[in-house]
Amino acid sequence: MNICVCVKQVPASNETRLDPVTHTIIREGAEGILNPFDAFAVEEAVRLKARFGGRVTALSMGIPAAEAMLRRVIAVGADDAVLLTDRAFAGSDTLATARVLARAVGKLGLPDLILCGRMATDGDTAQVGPMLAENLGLPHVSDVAAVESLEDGALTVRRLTDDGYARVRVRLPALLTVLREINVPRLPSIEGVLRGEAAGIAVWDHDSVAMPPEQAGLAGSATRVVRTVRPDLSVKTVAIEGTPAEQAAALIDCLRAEKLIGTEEQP
Amino acid sequence: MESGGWKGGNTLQLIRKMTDEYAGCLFDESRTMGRADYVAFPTGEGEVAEVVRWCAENGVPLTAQGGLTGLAGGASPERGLALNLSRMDRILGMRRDERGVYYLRVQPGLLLAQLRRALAAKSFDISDWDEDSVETLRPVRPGQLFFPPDPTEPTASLGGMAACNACGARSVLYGCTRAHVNALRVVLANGRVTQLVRGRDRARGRRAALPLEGGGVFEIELPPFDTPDIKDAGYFIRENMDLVDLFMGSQGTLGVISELELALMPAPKHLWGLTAFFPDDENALAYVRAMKGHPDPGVPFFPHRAASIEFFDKNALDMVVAQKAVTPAFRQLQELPDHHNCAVYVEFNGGDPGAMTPMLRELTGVLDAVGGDAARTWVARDQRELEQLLFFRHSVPETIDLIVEENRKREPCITILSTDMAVDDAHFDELFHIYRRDLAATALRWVIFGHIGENHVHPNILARTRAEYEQGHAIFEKWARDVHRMGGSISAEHGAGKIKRKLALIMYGPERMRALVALKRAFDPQLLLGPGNILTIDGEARP
Repeated sequence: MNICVCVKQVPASNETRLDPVTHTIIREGAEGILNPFDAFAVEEAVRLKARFGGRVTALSMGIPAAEAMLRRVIAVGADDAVLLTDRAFAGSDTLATARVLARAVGKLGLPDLILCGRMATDGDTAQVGPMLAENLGLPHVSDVAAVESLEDGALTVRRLTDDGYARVRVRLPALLTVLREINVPRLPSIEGVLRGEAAGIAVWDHDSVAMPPEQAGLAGSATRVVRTVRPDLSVKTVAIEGTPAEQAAALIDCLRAEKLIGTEEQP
Repeated sequence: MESGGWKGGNTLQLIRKMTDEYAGCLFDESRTMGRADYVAFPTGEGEVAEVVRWCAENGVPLTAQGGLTGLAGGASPERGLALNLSRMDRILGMRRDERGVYYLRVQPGLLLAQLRRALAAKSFDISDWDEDSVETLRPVRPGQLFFPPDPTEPTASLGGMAACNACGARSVLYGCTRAHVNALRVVLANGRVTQLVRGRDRARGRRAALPLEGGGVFEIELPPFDTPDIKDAGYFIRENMDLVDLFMGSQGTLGVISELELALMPAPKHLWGLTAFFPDDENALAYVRAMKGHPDPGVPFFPHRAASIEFFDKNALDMVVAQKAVTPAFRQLQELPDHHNCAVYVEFNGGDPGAMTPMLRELTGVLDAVGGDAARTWVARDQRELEQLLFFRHSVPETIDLIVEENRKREPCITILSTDMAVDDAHFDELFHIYRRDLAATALRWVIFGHIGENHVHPNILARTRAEYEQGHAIFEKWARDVHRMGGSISAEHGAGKIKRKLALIMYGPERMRALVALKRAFDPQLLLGPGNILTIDGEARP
C-alpha cells in the first residue's frame, strides 16, 4: 500500500507574529514544528506500511526551513519527502493549498492512501484534507479513530461522529484525516535520525507541479483574512479565605455572580 | 518579630489544634502515617521563630514539612506539631556576584516547579523586592538561568530538597542540592536565627561558631569523624567545613531552614537524550560503564559527559506497560520495542544542536559493542521530545505510588519500600548483583530503577502483606550491612527519615551514632526538632 502523508510546519508556540498587511502568520524566524495532529497521520502511515507493505512519502507545502521538519518525518519511518516551496505559494488559503497539494500528488503518481492530520494547530480549519480529496476526485473519511482492516481494496475504519463511532468502508484510493486517539506517535531511533539527516528532500516550485501562479498563493485564494484579533486570555485570581464551609459558600456566591451556575435552590 | 518577644495571643492564632481538615499534613509520599496534636502554617521567618519558641517553652516536638514529597517519612510528624512551610513559597530577591553568578533568595516552601516556571518565563512577583534585586533581574532573559537539581518530583519544596540534600537524575553532571545552595537562614531550637554563607562561615578544625541574629554566637564541637565521602543524604561532617552543609541533609533535626539562597547556572541551550533497550542487565551495565568514560575492552571510548544516566529493569518496564492499560493519564506513553528487557536513559545538556548527529554516530558504535541496537534506541532531539522520555521516567515512581496506595487498602502498615543506597564505581556491579540475587530468591514483587550513573538505583519492594513488608525491611537491613562493608551510603538522596533509621544505625555504627546524637543535643537539648528522623537515641522509648 503506497501512502502519501501530508504534513504542515506550524509555529511552536502561541506567541506568533502576524503580518499587518495580509493578516497571515509570519513564519520566517519563528521556531517551527511538525503540526502535532500530523504526527498521528505520520505514525499511522508508518504502521500501515508495516502491516501492508508499500512506501510512505511525506508531502508538505511551506517555507524552505520546513525541510528540517521533513527530515524528522523520515526519521520516524517515511521513505522520502517532498517540499513544495515558492514565493508564489505564500499566503495560500485552504483552497489554494489543496490545489497545490493535488498537483503534487498528481506528479508523484496517485497513491493508494492519503493521510492527513485532523487539522493544523495554527489555522484550525480542518479543511485542507477534505478539499484535497475533492480536488483529486477521491472519497475521504474524516476524524478517523482506527483503521481496522483492508479487504478487497477497501479499508474499514472507525470514525468519530457527534453521536459516537461509526464504522465506514471506503474503497481505495482514498483520503483519511485522523484523530489524536488513533495511535501514540513514536520517537525516532538513532538509526532513523541518521537516515533523516542523510536523506535527499525533493524541493518543488510552481513550475515543478505545473501550477499557474495566479491559482496559488494570495492570488489564487478564495478567501481574504480581513482582520485578526488576539483573544483576551487574562485570568483574575481571587483567594477565598475561611473554613472549608465558608470557602464553599463564598465559591458558590462567586460562581453565581459570574452566572456560571444557576441561582435556584435545590428542592 | 524577627528577634522580638513572643506575643502569646498571636501565637495561639498561628498554632492550631490538629483536626481532620489537616490530615494531609500527617504523611509524605512514602505513606508513613504520622500523628500530631498541632499544626502551624507560618508565612514568614518571624512566625517560624515564634512557633519554635512556643514549642521550646512547652516541650512540644515539631516536624518541619514542605512539599511532603519525601520518600523516607522525614516530614511525617511523629508527634507534637507539624510545622507546615507551604505558605512560605515566595521568591524574595536576586543578586549577582563579581563572577557573574546569579543568586536567588527563596522561602523554604517554594516548590521546584514554581521556581522552574519563574525562571523559564521570567515571571517573578517583585512587589516586595528591593531595588537592587529588581535591577539585577532586569537584563535576565526568560530561560537564561536554571537551578540544576532534578529530584524527579517537581512538587518537591526547596526547603525539603535542602533538608535531605536531594540529588536526582542530573546530579551526575551538576551534583546534588548541596552544591547549589549558597546560603541558609536557620531557626534554631531556641527560636534564635543564624545566617550562614558558604565560604564565609566555616568551622575551624572541628570547632564551629554560628553567628546569631541580634548578636552573639552559638559554639559547638563537631563529631570527631568524617561522614562517607560518597553521595550521601545524611549528616555532612568535615574539618573546616562550610557550616551551611551542617543543615543540608540533617532533615530538620538541627534547625528549621527559613530561607535559602540558591546559586543559579546558565541554562544549557540544547537538552536531548536517548533511551536504549538491552536484551540483558549485563549489556546495560556495560553501556553505563561506557557512558561514564570507563568502557570495557573492545568498546569505543565515548568522550562526552551525560547529565543523567537512568536504569529501568524488566519489572519496572512491565509494571508501567500494565499500568498503561488502566490509567488514562499513561495512555500517551510510548510503546516499548518488542522483547524489551531493560532500558537505560541518558540525557545530554549541550550548547550546540549541531553536535548531536556526530554524537549519535559515536553512540551507534558504543551500542553495537555492548549488545544494544541503534534501531531500537529512542532519541529525543529537543526539549519537547525529551518531555516524552521524562514522562516515561516519571511514570515508574508514579506507578509505584498507585500500587502502594492500593496495597495499603488491604494492609495499612505498608509504606513505600524504596532504597537509595550508593557505593563507588568499583563496587556498583557487585551491589547490583546482590540486589538481583536477593530479590530473585524471594516471592516478593519488586522493581529496580533509578540513578545508575551515580551508582545508586532504587530497588523497590511492592509489599502486599504485613509479612512481605517486614521481609522487605529485613532485606534492606542486609543490604545496609553489605553497603557498609563496601564503604557506601545507605541513603544517597532521600535521607534516612524514619523508614531508614535502622539502616542509618547500621551505617554509622553505635559509636558514631552517639557522637551525632551529642551534636543533636548541643543544638536541641530537649530533642524537639524532627523527632524520629535519622537518629537512634539510646534509652528513648520508640514505637
